[in-house]
Formats: sequence, structure tokens, C-alpha cells
Amino acid sequence: MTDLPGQISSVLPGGGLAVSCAKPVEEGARAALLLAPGLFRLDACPREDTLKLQVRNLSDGPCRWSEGGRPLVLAVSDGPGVSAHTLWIDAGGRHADVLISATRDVQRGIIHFVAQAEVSQ
Amino acid sequence: MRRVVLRVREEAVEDVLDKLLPRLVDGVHERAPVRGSVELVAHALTVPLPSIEELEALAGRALIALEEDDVSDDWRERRLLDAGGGVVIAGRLWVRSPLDPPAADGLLDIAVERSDAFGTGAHPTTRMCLDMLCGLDPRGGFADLGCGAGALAIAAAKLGFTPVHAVDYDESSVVAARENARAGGVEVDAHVIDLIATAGPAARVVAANVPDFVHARVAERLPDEAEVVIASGIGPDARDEVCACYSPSGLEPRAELEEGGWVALLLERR
Repeated sequence: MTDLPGQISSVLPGGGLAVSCAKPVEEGARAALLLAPGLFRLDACPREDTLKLQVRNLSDGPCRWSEGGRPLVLAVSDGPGVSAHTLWIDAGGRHADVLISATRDVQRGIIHFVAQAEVSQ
Repeated sequence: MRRVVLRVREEAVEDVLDKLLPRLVDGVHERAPVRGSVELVAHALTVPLPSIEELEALAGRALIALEEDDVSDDWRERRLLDAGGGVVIAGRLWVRSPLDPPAADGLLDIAVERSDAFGTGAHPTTRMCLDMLCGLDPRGGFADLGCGAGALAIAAAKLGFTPVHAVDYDESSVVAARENARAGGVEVDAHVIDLIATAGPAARVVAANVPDFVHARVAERLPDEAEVVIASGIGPDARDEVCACYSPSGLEPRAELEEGGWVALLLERR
């Protein structure tokens, strides 16, 4: 598996990588948001006011990330409010800047995520 | 809606998820481990689920059992079935969304509709406050500073504190706290206060689940009546700094909890 269904991947000028996705995730479910092959996978689990992110190291080297497993506050409103989070991930000797935005659809019990990572060469 | 439940060995669950999550586009609900196994529940929410054969192959030798059935399309009904979000705190409180089942006998029922507010009990910072609150003598008043949806204030009222105040800078949070308290049948005086500019209400026990920088302001204006402060929302790097804020008021840490990278302190007068 080199990519996630629905994920768009592009090689950037200079050899970097951009991956992005847009997907709904049901409250309480853990879903893969982004996959940088051979580097990391970023999972999201939204529950009530909390966004738990998990980074799975797919590289042979060490992996660090800005939140380090700390659950974030998912301050998304019932209406059109958007909760935005920025973080970074270092894996396999490469650095990724990640942007996640989330919008809650309270009637359907889902969170709409849009996520993007720009992985340096 | 098609649903599959995979029961896998607990120690292998992350390895199994490495295989499953790229194929289960809508993700999985992870149930709490029971006797060394974890149940992973997947629904065909936006795309069909893989075949049973493929799921068995993906889970490999970590798979203990796999069941398949049809469940309601209504996510509220599925939530009750699969991912009940309620949590037991200190063996005394059942903190839940109104969508979850009510408390079993012997537990105080704290139902919190989040609306667009923080503080439902899902976040570790709130859970640690609730845990500390349960260990206190419910004598005198309680003030919930940065109340969000009001979980702490409602729990305090149900534990026996009176009067109970709840304040937040965000009006929609105050409205949510007020409505949740009313729905829970307890009296909570909820109102808007900007803790950066104004002192919070006086009470013997004060809980402040707020960002690090707000603790400094809360500590500066702490009422003399405050004998106990539950300070939460603290990042691990800010623990000593927050302690130092409250020290001039004669408050010293008596207990400490840490969960998910967040720290909560129980501070008492010397």
C-alpha cells in the first residue's frame, strides 16, 4: 500500500512531497488522514471536544512530532466553525509541515477533515 | 449498514491497524481492551467494506474472531451500540453525552451536551479535574473557571458542593453550561467573565481548566476564600511555572496527575 484511498499525492519541485485528503470521520472513529509512504501515517480520532491525533512511524529512523501524542482541543462548532491545527512531523530524516482543519456536522455525527502535509526532500 | 467487528490480540492492535486503516476508509472504533483483546468496529459509512476474506488476511494471526452484521443507518443508534462515549471517573461519576446510556446504579450521572463548547469530559484535562474533585470534601462553594460546557460545575453540584459558580469568557459556553445544569437538575450560577481582566467568583474550591497564561491571571486575583485549587490545562513544560503563580497565595501542590501529555495539579493552602 503506497497511498490512501482518496489521498492526493504530488511530487514537489525540488523533490519534496505534498499529500492531502478531505474526508468525513464519524465521532469516536479513528481514521487515517494522511500517509507519507515510508515515513509516517497520521490518524485522527475526534470525540466530543477532543481531537486525538496519532502518528505512526513508517520509517526506519526515529520519529518526532510537535504534539507528541497530546490530545488537542477540537473546538469545532455545530455551525460553520472550523477548527484549524498546525503541527510538524519529523520521520526518516525528513520534515513535514501539516495543516488540519475540521468542521463538525452535528446532525450526522461526523467531522469533516481537510488535511495536508508538505514533506521536505 | 454493514458492520464488521474484528477482535484482535491487544499487543498486536497497532500492527493490525497498519494493515486495516489504509483499507477501512471510514476508520474504526476501538473498544477498550478486555482480557488481552481489542475489538475494532468498522462500518460501511461512505464506501463498502472489504470482504471477510480480505479482512482476515489483513488482520493475520492477530485475529481472534470476526463477526459481520447489519446495523442501523442512524449514527446515534450505532453510537450506543459501538462507541459509547461515557467514562467512569473515580468510580463515582459517569460522564457522558446525552446520546450515551445513563449511569448505572451507584454512579452520579453527568450528561453534557457539548454544543460548541469545550469541557465535556472527553478531554484528559477535564477528566483529571473530575478525578481530583471526587477526592475532595464537598464542603462549601465551588467555582469552575473556564467552565466550557459545564462538566466540572455539574459534577461539583451533584457531589454536594453549594453554591456552584461557572464562568467562561465565551458566551456560548456559558449558555451550554447553564442548559446542561438545568437538564441535570442542579443549580449552577453560570455567567460570562473574562478571567484575564476580572476575578472569578469566590469559593472554597476553585477549578481552573485553562491555558497556562490564564493561570497567572487567575492566581493574581484568587479570592481569600479559596482553600483548594484544581489547576488543569497545563502543558508539561509549564508545570513549574504554574506552581510558581499560585505559590504567593500560599498554595502548594498536594497531588498531581498526568495524562496524554497534560498535567493537573491539586493545590492547597499551606
